[in-house]
Amino acid sequence: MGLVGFSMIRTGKISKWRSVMFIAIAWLFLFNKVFRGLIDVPIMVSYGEAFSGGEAQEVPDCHIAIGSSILNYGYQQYLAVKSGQWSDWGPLSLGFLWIVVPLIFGRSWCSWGCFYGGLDEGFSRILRRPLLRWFKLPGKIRDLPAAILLFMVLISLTTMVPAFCLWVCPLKLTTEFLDPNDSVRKIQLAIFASLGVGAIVLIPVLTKKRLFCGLICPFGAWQALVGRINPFKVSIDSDKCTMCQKCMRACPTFAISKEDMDARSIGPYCNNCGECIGDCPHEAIRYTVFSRDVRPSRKGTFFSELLDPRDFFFFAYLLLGGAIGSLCLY
Amino acid sequence: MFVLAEGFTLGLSTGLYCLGACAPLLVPFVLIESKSIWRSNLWLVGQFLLGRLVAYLLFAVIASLAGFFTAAFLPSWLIPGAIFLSGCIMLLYALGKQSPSPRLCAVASKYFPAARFPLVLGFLVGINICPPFVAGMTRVFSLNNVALSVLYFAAFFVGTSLYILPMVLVTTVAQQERLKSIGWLSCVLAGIWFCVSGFYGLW
Repeated sequence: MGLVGFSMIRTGKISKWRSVMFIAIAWLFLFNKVFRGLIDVPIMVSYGEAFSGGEAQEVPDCHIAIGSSILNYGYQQYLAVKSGQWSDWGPLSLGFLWIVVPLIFGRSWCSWGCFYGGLDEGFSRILRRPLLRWFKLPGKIRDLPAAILLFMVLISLTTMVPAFCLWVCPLKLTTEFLDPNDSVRKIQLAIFASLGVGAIVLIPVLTKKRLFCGLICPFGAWQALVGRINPFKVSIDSDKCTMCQKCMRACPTFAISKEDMDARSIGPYCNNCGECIGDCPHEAIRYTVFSRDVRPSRKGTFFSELLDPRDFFFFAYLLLGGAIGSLCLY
Repeated sequence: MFVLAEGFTLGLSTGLYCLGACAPLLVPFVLIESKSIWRSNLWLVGQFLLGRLVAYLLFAVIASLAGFFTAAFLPSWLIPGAIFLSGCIMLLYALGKQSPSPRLCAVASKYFPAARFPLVLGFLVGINICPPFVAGMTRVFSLNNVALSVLYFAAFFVGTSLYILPMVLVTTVAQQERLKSIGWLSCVLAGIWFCVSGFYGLW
C-alpha cells in the first residue's frame, strides 16, 4: 500500500496504481478463499443451508448481499433486539460494517475498496485495445443495477432469502460452492457459472468494460444512491472539455453517457476509478472534494505532499481498501 | 362486533407479511404509473387493494358455504398458476408500456389495457394462500356463518391494507423519468421471476 501510495503521488497516475492494488487484493482474496475452501471444508458445501430452514432471516456477510437484502437485515436486527441476542445487534454485526464502510468510501467503494471488483477489472485490462467496441448503453438499460437492487430488496423480503446471492451473484466462488443435488440448485449453478464466465471474464476481456460492476451488481446502485453524501467525486471542467468523448470510451462502467457529456457531468454510477482522468487529452476531468481540485501535487518535498490535505482521500481509500481486503483474507 | 375486532387484529399483526408478498408486484407498477395527482395515485393502489378484497371475500364465502377448508382441498395448480399468471401479466404490461418493437407494444396494449392491471394483480395476489390467510380461514370455519365470515375477512383486509396503503408515498418520489425507467426494468425482472417460479411450481 505504501509503495502504491508513493507511486500514485510521484507519478500522478492515480488510476494505474489504484488498479494495481485493487486487482492484487481481489486475486489474493479469491485464491485465499478457494485455497482455504479446498483445505478446510469440502468444496461442495451446501450453500443453501445458510439461506433456508429455521434461519431464513440470516443474511450472508457480504456487502453485495447486505445491500440487496437490506430489509431482511433490518428484520434480523429487529429479531436480535426483540430476543435479546445482543451479539447480533447493530454495531456488533458485520452487516453494520458493510453499511458504514461504503458510506465512508462513497461511490469510490466499487473501485478502491471492493475485494471482488478487481476480478473483472483485471480481465478488462488484459488487452490493450478492445476487440469489441462497446461504448454506449441503450438509455433504457442504464439503470439496470438500480432495478436489480429494487427488485432484489423486495423479493428477498418476500422469500426471506438473499435472492441475489442465491440466484444471480457470480462471486460465490470466493465463499462456498453450490450443492448441485436438485434441479433448482442446478439452475442456480448454471446461472452462476454463465454469469461468472460472461460478465466477469469474457465480456471484460473483449470490451474492456467491467460488465458485472457496471451493469449487474446491485451494490453499485446502492453506492450511487448513498454515495451522494460523500464529497469526493470526479468532475468535468466545462471550460476545458471539447466533447471529444474519449472519457466516455474509457469509462469501464458506462458511467458517462452522451447525455452526461452534453451536460458536462458524470453519471451517478461513477465509482471514481480515475480512468477517464488519465485518458482526457485536455485535462478537463479531475478529482474534486466539495468541487475543489484534489490532484496530487508534484511540487514541494515528498513529506509535504503526503501531508497535503488534498491527498487525504487517496491515502484514506488506499489504507481502508487495503485494510478491509486484508481483513477479509482472514 | 367482536368478529370485526378479531379479523382486524389478525390483519394488523400479520400485515407485514402481506406487504412483503405484495411489494414486488405493486412497487414497479406504482413507479411506472404514478402521476402528480394524488387522487389518481390513490386510485392505483386502491384498485390493487380492491382486487385483494374480492379474492378474500370470495374465499370467505366459499369456505363458509363448504363448511370446511384446508389447503389440501385446493387444486394443487391454483397457487403456482396464480403466480405464473401474475408474472405473465407483468411481462405483458411491461411490453405494453415500452417494447423494442412498436407493433408488439401495440398488440400488448390492445389485449391488455393497463387500466385493469392493478385490479387483476391484486386478485391474483389475494388468492395466494399465505400463513395469515390460513389462520383467518380456520377461524371462519368455526364461525359457520356466511355473513360473519365476510365481515371477518373484510376486517382482516382492512388490517393488512394499513401496511400496503403507504405505498402511495412511493409516488411522491416517482415523478422522474429515470425512476419510471427503473420501475419498468424491475417490472420486467419481477415478471420473469414470477413466470419462472410459477412455471416451476406447475411443472
